[in-house]
Amino acid sequence: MIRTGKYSEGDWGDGAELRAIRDKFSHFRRLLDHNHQALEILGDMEEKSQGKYLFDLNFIRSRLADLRANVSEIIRCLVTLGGDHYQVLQERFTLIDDQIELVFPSNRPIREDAYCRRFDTLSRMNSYSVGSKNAQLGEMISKLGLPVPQGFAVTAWAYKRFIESNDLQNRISERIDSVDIRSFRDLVRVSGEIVDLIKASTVPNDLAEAIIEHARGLTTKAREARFSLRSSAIGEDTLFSFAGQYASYLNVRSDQLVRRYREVLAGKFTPQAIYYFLSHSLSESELAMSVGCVAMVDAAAAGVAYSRDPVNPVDDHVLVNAVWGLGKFLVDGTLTPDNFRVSRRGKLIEAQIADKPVHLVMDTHGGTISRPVSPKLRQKPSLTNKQLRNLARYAVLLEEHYACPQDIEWVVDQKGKLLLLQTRPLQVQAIQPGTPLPDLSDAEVLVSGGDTVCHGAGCGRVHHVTSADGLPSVPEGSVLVAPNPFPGLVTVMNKVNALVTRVGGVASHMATIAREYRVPTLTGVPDALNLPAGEIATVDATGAVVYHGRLDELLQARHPEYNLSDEESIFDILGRVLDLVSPLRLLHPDDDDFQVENCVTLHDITRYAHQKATEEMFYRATDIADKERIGLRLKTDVPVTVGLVYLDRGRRASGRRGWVKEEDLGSIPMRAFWSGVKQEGWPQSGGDEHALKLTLKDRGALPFSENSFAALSEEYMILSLRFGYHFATVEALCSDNINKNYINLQFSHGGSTFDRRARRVSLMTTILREMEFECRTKGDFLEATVSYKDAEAMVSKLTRLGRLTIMTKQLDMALSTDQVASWYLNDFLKRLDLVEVPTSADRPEKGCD
Amino acid sequence: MKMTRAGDLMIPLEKYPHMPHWFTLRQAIVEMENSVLEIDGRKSLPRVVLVFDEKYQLVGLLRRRDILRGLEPEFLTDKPLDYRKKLFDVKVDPNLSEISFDKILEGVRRRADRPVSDVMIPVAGTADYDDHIVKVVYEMNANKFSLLPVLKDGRVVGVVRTVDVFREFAKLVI
Repeated sequence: MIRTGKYSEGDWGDGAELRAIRDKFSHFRRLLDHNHQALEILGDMEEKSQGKYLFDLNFIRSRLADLRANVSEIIRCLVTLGGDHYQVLQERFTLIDDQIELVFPSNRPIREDAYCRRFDTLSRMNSYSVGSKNAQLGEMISKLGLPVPQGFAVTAWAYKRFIESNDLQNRISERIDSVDIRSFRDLVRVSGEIVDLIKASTVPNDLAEAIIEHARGLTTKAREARFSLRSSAIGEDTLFSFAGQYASYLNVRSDQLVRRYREVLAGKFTPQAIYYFLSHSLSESELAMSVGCVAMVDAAAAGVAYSRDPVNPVDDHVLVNAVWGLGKFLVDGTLTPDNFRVSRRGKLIEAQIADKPVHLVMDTHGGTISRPVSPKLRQKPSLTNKQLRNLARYAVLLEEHYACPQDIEWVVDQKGKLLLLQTRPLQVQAIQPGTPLPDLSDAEVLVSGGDTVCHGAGCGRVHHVTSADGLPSVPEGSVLVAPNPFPGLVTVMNKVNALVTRVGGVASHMATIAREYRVPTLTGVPDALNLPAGEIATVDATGAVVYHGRLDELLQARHPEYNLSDEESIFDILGRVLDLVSPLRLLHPDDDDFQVENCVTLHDITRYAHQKATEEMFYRATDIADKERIGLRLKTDVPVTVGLVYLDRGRRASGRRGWVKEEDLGSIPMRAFWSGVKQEGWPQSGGDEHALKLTLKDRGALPFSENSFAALSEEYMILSLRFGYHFATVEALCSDNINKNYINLQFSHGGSTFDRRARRVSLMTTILREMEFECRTKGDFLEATVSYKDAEAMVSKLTRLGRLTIMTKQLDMALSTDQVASWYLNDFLKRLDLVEVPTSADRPEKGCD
Repeated sequence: MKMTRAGDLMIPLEKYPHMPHWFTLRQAIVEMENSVLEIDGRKSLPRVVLVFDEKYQLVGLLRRRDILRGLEPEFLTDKPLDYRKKLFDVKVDPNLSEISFDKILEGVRRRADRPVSDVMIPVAGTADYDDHIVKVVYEMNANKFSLLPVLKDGRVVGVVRTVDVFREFAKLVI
């Protein structure tokens, strides 16, 4: 950000003819300021899209909101500077902005539908009304003919009826808005209040009747009908996993259905669900709830099937987890399940049979009850080979149908019949092949074993937590150890560096969310609870070992490359937003297509506005007095056009016919900077230029730089340089008062790929830090500041900065690898008489091209 | 069998070394010596660097021997094109370079600061992204190119080298 206020108003002089320029200049500075902020946001968003950092939908929304605000201000400033004809830019902006809005999960109103819909009347096209979970069940029946239990969906329209008839919307919103998302206790409090609110409401008669009637339609054959009720939020599973975030009820009697329906709706507001949708910036009005009512299956066995191994998708096998009884003990991590690996043609490749001491069964009075498994069965496989073969077949079929790996819930009834309960996209994680591992033979192993849930390695202090009560005190950046993946764990996912649990398999709900949040996670580690609390440990989730101390090389080597197959993933959204925000189509102001109509991204708009503002400021001044002062040019043999404006010269004070010689620059900071530029000089041709002439001749060679300008006074300068595709703005105050002095540099853009631009910024950052600048970088945007130095030091720094600016012009194009960047860094440090630094510290984390 | 196109074979531009035309020979050497290309697990150093102007348009190619030519002492370099044979013209003796190596070294360092535009060669041929491999081979053979820039919608998007084409043919033949 450009500092305002350091340059006092009094310095401007008091001539009346200066007032117009001064006003213009202040608008111009505001525009620059917003432009820099916009570029900084763009850099940040691009950096996040590279996949190294954690972010959520909230991040995209809030960054986008900031970006919009800045772009709007830029346009406003340009209109003030240049007049109403620039309003077309606003129209362009609205057009692009509308497209951006379309990228987000829609905010559409709930569409009218029946209160209840039988599964066999549904397909995935109905997910807007019945939620993804129910819609996919319909799809499996109606499109694929797969075995699914009978059932029906209570639609979002019914939800709306319930909420409206009880006037709940506002009362819920008020409470959710008051939550402190960082406090688990607060989440619990608000959750409790909302749940009470909903439970105290009544289901309107027409809705209650519709539910009972449909349930009756399912139960003509059996008098003792039992149902399971499961939430199916609109938007659930398509955008985020939402795994296990909502309540479900098993073994519900028909006379309990309506009450349980209300409770499922209330269950949407668990602390972890509130956390989840607040952290993803979803609002409860966007998340209307449908509920699936399914004829209860008396389960002999149940579990999860993945059509591919989520942590090793190259492996072509179907992965099946299974337990005796109902599947809840598997997904909530109570039991370590049997683990089967089945080929795509149904052949059993590998089976790990777990000891299953208990199973969850239907209670005769309703609900479920945990019972011991008979000793004969405890260690027996919970699925037959034939069942596994069928399951693999279904999994492959579903993957083909949906064209992406699937996460499937299934159950086997007492007669041995396999039924499918749910299918949804599986989040797949791929690790970069061939990452060399450091030698770890000397590292102290704390514990080992367990299953990799989410690849990678994380380091921190070991912290044990046994229940949700302990969650508020989980420190930032710890290695969290828990006996099992209990539900509240989700709320600290963004705080911990690694997660280790004693029981639980790769198919638990926690596992899904750990992968989404990319927390390196190991489950089923037998000795997990023996990890020494308070000690620093490095969890190698990929290698299933926990080491003592911090092992940087290991952390580096385990840095995973992600590949989310879910096309609605958060990366996909950011990617599509960036497509409309970030690419620069308007390249050179002299190009014919440098027009408002060709602005297709927000970046184009800022680029266009910046260019036009510069022109308005320095080239289109109509007033004669302005023109004389503003129309000044720097006379130099460096092939750069620099427009000059003097803020402290009342009358035309220098130059003839608008040219200012270098020695007449006057401004201390500008003179210093320019002496650096001159010292470095422009590479001159060695005489025989014929090759270049040959090739450039017919292409309309351009002067190298366009439209750079400076606003100057004796002690102040703001210089905006454009070399090729990059911008640099240097603002400096260089006076006798040390406390006032500062240099501020912003640097961005470049013509080459993001990698190369980022390498240049990283190289410049290292050099600037050597020059005592404080640097902040976001992607390919760099901001550096130094202040409180005496005038002599300022001059020396500005001279170096001038040299550095010339050295790095278009350098990004050449920075094809880290090695090249490293060579340049050392070369520049030597040439600038700065200390040589070890090369390893300067290398960006990313691998070479 | 699917027809292989130039676009399938090419190394994308973002992975291939390139630089602005006013960069020095010294910088070109750094680029060549430090850019390891890894294609299908095989590593190699680039033999050619692409040269662009400030509008990111391709203006030339720079081979190793062009750089060497640029570093050569003046008295050994070829005569300019418009040079006319004079009476008593004598052929240069490369052994002259033995006379004062230090002097020559100094000259080499000085000439390393020449811009690459001095010695680069013009782009005499390109392949289109959708060009069939046989057409690529033809272009290479007919014009003795070891590398062709690949264009898509008029922009350079990558390069295809003889070694890439060769490997493709090797797969067909062996």
